[in-house]
Amino acid sequence: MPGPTTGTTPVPDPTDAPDPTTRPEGVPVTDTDATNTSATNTDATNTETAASAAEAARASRPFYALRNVNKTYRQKNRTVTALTNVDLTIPQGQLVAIQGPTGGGKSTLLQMLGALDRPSAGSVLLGERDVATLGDRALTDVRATEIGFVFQSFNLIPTLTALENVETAFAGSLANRSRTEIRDRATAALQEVGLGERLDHLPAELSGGQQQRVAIARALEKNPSVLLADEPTGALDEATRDEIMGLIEKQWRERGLTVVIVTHDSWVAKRAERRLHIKQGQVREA
Amino acid sequence: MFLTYLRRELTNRKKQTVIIAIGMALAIALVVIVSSIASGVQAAQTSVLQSVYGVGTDITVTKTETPTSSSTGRPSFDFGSQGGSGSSSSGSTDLSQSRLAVSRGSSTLDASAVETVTSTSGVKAATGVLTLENSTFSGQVQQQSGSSSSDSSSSDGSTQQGPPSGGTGGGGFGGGSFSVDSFTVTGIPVSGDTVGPLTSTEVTKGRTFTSADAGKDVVVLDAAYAKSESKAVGDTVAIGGEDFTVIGIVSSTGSSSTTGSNTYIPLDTAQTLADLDGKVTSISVSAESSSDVSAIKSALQKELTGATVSTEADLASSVSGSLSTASSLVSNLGTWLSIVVLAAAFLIAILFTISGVTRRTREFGTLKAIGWSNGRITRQVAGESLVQGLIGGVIGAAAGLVGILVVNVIAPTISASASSTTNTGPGAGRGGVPGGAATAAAGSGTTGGAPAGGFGGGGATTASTTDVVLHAPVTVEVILLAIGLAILGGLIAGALGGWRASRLRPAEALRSVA
Repeated sequence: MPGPTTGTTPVPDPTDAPDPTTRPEGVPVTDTDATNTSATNTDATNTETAASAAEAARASRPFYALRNVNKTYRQKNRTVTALTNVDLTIPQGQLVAIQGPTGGGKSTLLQMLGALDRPSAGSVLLGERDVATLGDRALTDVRATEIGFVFQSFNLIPTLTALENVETAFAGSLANRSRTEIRDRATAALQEVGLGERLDHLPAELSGGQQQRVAIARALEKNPSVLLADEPTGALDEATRDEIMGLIEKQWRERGLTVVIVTHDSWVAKRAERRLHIKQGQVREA
Repeated sequence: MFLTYLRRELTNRKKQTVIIAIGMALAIALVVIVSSIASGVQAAQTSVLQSVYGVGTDITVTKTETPTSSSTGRPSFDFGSQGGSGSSSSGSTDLSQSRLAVSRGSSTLDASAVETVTSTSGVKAATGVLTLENSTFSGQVQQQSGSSSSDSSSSDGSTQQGPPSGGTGGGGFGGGSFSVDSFTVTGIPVSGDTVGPLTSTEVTKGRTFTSADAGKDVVVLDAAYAKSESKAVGDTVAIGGEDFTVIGIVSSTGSSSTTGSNTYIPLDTAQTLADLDGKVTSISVSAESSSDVSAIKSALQKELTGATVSTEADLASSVSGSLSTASSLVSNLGTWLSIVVLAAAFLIAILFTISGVTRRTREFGTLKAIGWSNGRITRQVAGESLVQGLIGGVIGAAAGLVGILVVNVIAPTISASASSTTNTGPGAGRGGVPGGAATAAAGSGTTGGAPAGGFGGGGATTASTTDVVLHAPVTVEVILLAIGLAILGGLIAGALGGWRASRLRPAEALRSVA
């Protein structure tokens, strides 16, 4: 993949680069002290909890840089503004919670971060790639390789077993792996989330918490850079919520993932390193 | 993953799979059966025309029965007082009588007409034949003492033609059995004509006529008739009360048809036996050139007043009877039904596929969100539809084959009348059908012969009626057509469903539908 596409907003903050030879052009390197790499309107907290083992991985991982992002929709005869001049930088390896009222733009922001949609204006840099300028095929590949998704309703394929659901994650350039490798990796991913005994169960045969575990395994088994979670505990009871959050935090620490969680649940939000609030299409630090 | 997902979808969403497959199967089965029967009917039609008119006949000349001669040719039996072959023993009376007459509905032409035709300009050859119907009534009546109504056997409407009456000493009938057997007899010139009924036949056993057979009681049998009557060369067949020696057996050169007549005898023998000296019922004419046909037709119409002159084209369009009905049924109703059912099946497949995609919006949105390309999702949807269509196609083709098998096992006999004369009788007397003559055995009551359905001979078979066993052929083309249509249906449904799925936004995955 080449450097930033011409015509996009350049990444603003020059940063200290401990090892410029390994740094992709245009991608600022982050470290645990993320303060000086934070976005213009953010005030990132230190990721003190991050394990040192993950730091090396973080160094080459992408991060988000949103510049002047606007998103408008045509709805019948009127234009709805979902995001207004959003500037946001999320360093590699940060655990971010996004809160806000319904209709405030949470979902739209998540769509930008997840390369599900392009902004109407502005740029959304994901690593070195600008979502705003990528074609459909490239966006699909970004989603297939870089992003893990976890949904409120788990969104498992109802006709597929737990194992097969995880195997669906091998998409794009990953789909060419051998059948054995795909099966082995999916099995390992399910074992990692504690579902080694439930490989052949259909989603309907699993509890909500177990389904979300399958979804987490599906999201993470392709080893993405980013985990995006849309109300991941919204459909779960309190005990299961703790369990799922524990699992997400564990993966975040061990893998050095960037994690963005959209949530209504203050308890969940409080566990994040950084909390953002989005209202009427505008993002501010909480 | 593709196959796993496909298999899971088809087995876990059985309802949709079953509905699409059944719709498709129904349509495909219908297409297979209709196509097969259509080709069977087509073959039968060709066969009928050849067997009735012979190969190479360009024009036929016949005469329709005139209303004033309504009694002509109607078989009637008169047993009188033990007349004919009636015999009596131990309380029962055996009755048997045979008569030979021109089939009802047709009339005779003078043999001089053959000369007239032959001398007409452009005529290459002409052959006059006399087509007759031999009706045999045989039965046994039991004498019963006591009172009995004398009209006890006349409850059947057809008894006006000559119910068994009298001869039983007024004792009435206490039950009995009757059988009326009828078959067609064609008197043909023995000189080996190049045109006429026997030209579309081949001798399978024995020999055909030679000039030496003129005036002799020899008969050539239709193969199907010979088989049904268990007759072989050398056996005798009773025609008009005389015993005829079987000298040969002929079968139609057309695949599954019987020949134009059940039996063939020398023309002069037939004329003598039927008391119709110098008469023929039809003249087969071959023209020197096909371009002369219409001119010959006009000439003959002028020369032979009262006769019906039909060209081959007239004949083809005049094929009537159940074959004609079957033909129009297949070509009109069958084809339209196939198209409508096929269209309905395609529509069902398309609607179910699209509604399936709509129902699975979140599923496909999720797959897109985790990196599935539009192409992969389209292929998945199209693959599902294709397999559903194929399952339907295979089941439909199998059901169609079973249907064809049933048709061929039943082997419906289709009668075709290729003459301008009307076919008005009850139809029980179809020649050549084993048991086609009415047979009734009554154990009780006094209506022994009542269900005979017109006493055989009463069924007016015209001279040119033939029976064809409908054979519905199974061809590779039909099977390929079926599979092709099933694939097409699956592909259309899959393409539309896939197109719809590919237009779904991946953001649909984020819709929080619990």
